[in-house]
This record gives sequence, structure tokens and C-alpha cells, in this order.
Amino acid sequence: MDKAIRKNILKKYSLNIVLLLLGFILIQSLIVTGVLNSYAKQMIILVFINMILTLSLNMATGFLGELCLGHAGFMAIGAYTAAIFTKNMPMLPPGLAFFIGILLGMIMSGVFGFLIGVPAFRLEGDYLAIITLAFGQIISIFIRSLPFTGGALGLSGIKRMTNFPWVYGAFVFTLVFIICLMFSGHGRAILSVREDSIAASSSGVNVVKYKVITFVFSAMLAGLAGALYAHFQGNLVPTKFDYNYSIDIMVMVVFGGMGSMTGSILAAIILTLVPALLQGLAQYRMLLYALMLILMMIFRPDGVFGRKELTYDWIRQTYRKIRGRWKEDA
Amino acid sequence: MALLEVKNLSIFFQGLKAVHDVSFEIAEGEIVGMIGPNGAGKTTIFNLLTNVYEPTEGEIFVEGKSTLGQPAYKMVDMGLARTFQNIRLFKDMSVIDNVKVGFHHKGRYSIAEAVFRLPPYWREEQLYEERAEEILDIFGMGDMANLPARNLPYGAQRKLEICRAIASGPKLLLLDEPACGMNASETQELMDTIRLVKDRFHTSVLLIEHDMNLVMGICERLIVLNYGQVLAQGDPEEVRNNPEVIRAYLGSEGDPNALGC
Repeated sequence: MDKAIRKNILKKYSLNIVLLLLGFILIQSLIVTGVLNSYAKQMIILVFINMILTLSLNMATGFLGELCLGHAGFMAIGAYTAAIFTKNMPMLPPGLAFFIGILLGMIMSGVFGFLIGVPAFRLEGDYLAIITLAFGQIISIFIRSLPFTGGALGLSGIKRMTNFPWVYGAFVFTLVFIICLMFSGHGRAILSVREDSIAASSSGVNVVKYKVITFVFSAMLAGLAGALYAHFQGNLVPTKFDYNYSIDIMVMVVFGGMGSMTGSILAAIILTLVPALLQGLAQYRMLLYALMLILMMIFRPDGVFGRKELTYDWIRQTYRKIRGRWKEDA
Repeated sequence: MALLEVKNLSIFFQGLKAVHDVSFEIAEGEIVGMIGPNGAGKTTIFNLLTNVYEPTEGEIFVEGKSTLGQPAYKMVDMGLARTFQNIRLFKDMSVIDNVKVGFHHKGRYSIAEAVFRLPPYWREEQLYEERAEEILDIFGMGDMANLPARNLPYGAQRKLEICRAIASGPKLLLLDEPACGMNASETQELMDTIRLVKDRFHTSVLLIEHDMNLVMGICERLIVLNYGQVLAQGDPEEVRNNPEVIRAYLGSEGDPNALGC
């Protein structure tokens, strides 16, 4: 039995592992050989941080079906926790301190996710949206007034540890975590709650438990993105994590398609790079976002991917279709 | 000992006595029909049985164990599964995944075991896959396994709801108007499905239905409700000739055959 299982695992995942490694080698070699300049390097790291954020919000909003409007708040908690830890632990080797800082940031965000999720999910309805909206505001006010967060001036002098291997590792972790969770009995339970919570509960799914768990995971992954962001920027200001940033992340999720990981990744890439390329039009960025959303809602209300994913099966089918068409022409 | 025992069950919604002092029993392997005019409290009783509502008075026993204070999701563990009057499927999930959700309460592997893809995950998932295919095959839906549930025709959606309920391994299956919106041939097929449930899975069935052909065709016993109270109980022939039942349905004494068949 166990032998069969091992064979199954190899068959199922070898291609994915090879592709992920190839992606890493490709980008890393471009960076090492100096083909990409330092601006491009920074953009790549920012794209990956946003991909982690979008994937994490997609978990709460797309898979669980709960509107969360304070995701930047969880990111802020992760960012500040990790930064304060690494700043106060100069005796540890920087890599180790960074790693522990990330873990602490994730745990702290998870704790806050739990504290918010438990009361919010005991009620039925869209209370989470209102509570997380308030939470996002409260967090940024707290950061501004607490003694150890640097106040409105912000926290500076954070060691810039985040490089490409770190963000890539974190991204792969996030992706694999979400995929492995969603394609399991627990993932089916999460989806069933989104689809019909009454039917889920009468099928034996503990609805409140799964809502809280998913939300905590989502908050933890946002904390991961925050910790990476803190050690990428080198300084943190509370205004960064305001309501607008939460909405930015939400826009990415909606743009890509709520409930599609492929869509989240694609949207994070496009919506990070496009505003950067339109640097001269920076003041029109929010206008562009709004316009994009309106057009999206008119022409493709489910986002670019809807709830679909880019899978091997899909590629295989499309390939066959295209080949079939060629043969017809010939 | 009866499989299900309902004792003096009542629920009041701010003075409205939706269900008032209802008692009945269901034995193992029985198919029981619950009939009554609209608003008689049939669906309310289902919601009480599955602990969606908490009773004002009275108690429910499944195999002698009281269900009082159990959360709704624990009712599956006690051996109760249900379908809904308006179909409630997980529409964006595949047919086979809908059935697999029914296995959820038996799931043993943890989230960590799922995320790290440890052996318990593979073992259990393989088992679920086989069992879900088996159930779908029994109900003749094997070839639809990978379709999204929303793409199924109406009759098949009703059937899938029954598959999902059966997957949880219930001792008693509650069907809320399973023939609602079905034509005669679909209803005929449904009757075969319900018999299959009883014969293959040894499950008792309690069903709410207005379609008298179906009720008289497969139910071994009937419970008639009116204004939240039990009007009559007994075998179909007895109930059909009960003057009180006829009055409740037709407003006055009339031709007994008006009740159908």
C-alpha cells in the first residue's frame, strides 16, 4: 500500500516540482548574471509579495466566500512583528533571525485572525466585512500611537533581508499549502461552506470551525507577505497599511477571479507591473483601478479566470483542440 | 426500541404553535410518509429533527439517545441525514465531490496530514474515491461523476442530494418533498431510488410529500399533520378512509377516492 502511495506521489508531483525549480533557476540566473537591473529585481520581489497577498485573500474571499476588507491590517501585524523581532535580535545570525521573525509575524497575524474570526463567524451574514474594515483602521491607529512601533514616523533601519530566493520560497510554500489544503477533505469542506452553509452543516461539516480555520490561515499568509515586505523596504510607515491598500489587494482578487489561484497570480503580476510602468501617471492609478473594475464588472463579472484554474488537463484539451483545427484546415 | 422516537414535540414562534405536542416513532427499515396541507408544520418537524430549530418543549431520541443540545452538524454522527425542499447542492463542485462531502464527518486525517500529503491522506482519499464511485454507480450516475453539479438535469440533482445524504451512512433518511417539480416518469424513477435506499443501505426513510401516487405507492405507514398536530397515523389504506383526514384535505366529507390513486 505504502509503496503504491509513494509511486502515486512521484507521478503526480514530479512535473510540478520540475517546473517550480525551472522557474527559480531561470529568474535567479537572470538576476545573478546581471541581465535584470536593480529596479527590475525590486519589481520582481514586489510582484511575488503581492502574489502571496492575493493568494491569501483569495482563500478567505474566493474559497470561503467571506468578504475581508482589512487584509492590509494582517499584513501590517506580520510586518511589524517580524521587523521588531529582527531589530531587537542582532546577536542571532541574520538569516535565522529573519526566519524566526517571519514565523512570529505569521503566528501573530493568525492570533488576530482568530480573535476577529471567532466572534464574527458566530453571526450569520456579512458581519466579517464590517468587522475587518474596522480592524484595518484600528490597527493603523494603534501602530501610530504605540511606543514600540515608531509611531507616525515609522520604523526604520530594518535589515533588508528579502531577496529573490526568500520570496520565491515563500511563494512556493503559499501555493503548495493552499493547493494541498484545497484538494483534500478539508478543502472540500471549505468549498461546501461557500456553496451552501446549510447543506454543509447538515452533511456534517462544522461550518463555524472551518470558517475560522480558513480565515486564520488567510491572515497568517498575509502576515508572511508583511514580514517579507518589511525586510524588503527596510522601513515601515503606518500609512502604507491603510484602507486603500486593503482595497488594492481586493481589486487584484476580483480582477483575477474570486476562487481562482491562477487568476490571483496573474492579477498580482498585471496590477503590480501596470501601475509601475505608468509611473508618470501615478496620480491616475486609483482612477485606472476604478475604471478597470467597472469595465471588468460589465464585461467579465467573474474576473479573468472566474473560478477556473490553469491545469494540465486544460492545457492538454486545448492542445488537442488546436491540433484538431489544424488538421481540419490541412 | 424504535430507531426514532419523538416525544411531545412542540415549537412556538411568538405564540404561533407551528408544531404542537407531536409524538411518533419510526422503526428500523420502515418507509414512513408525512403528509398534510401546506403550513401544517411538516418542514418545521424536519428542521426540529435535524436540530436546525430548538424545540420549545419535548424531546427527540435517536436509538434511545437524546438529540437535545447537539449542534446541527453533529446530527449526521447520530445517524440522521436529510435532503431539502429546494435542492441545496454544492453547485460549483463536481458531482463526486458533492458525494465526498457526505463522508466528511468520518474523516480522520488532520489538516497537517493533508497539507504535507502524508500516508493517511492518500489512504483515506483513495477509499473515499472508491466509495463515492460505488454510490454513484448504484444510483446510475457513474458517468456524471466529474460534471459540475449545476449542470445536472433536475431529476439527477434530486438524486445527487440523496447520494450525498446516503454517503454519510445514515440510519434514517429525511426526504423533504423529493418529488416536487417532477413529472410522472421521474416520480416513478424516484420511487425506485427510495426503494433502493431501503434495500441496499438498510436505511429507514421519512418523507414529506404531496404527490399521493408516490406516498400511497411506497410508504408503509403515514403520519398526517394538520395545524401542527398529528391528525392520524396508520397504514395508507386506513388513513385514506379516515374522515378527519378527508375533511382536512377537502374541507368536508367527500369521495375518499379524491385523495388520489
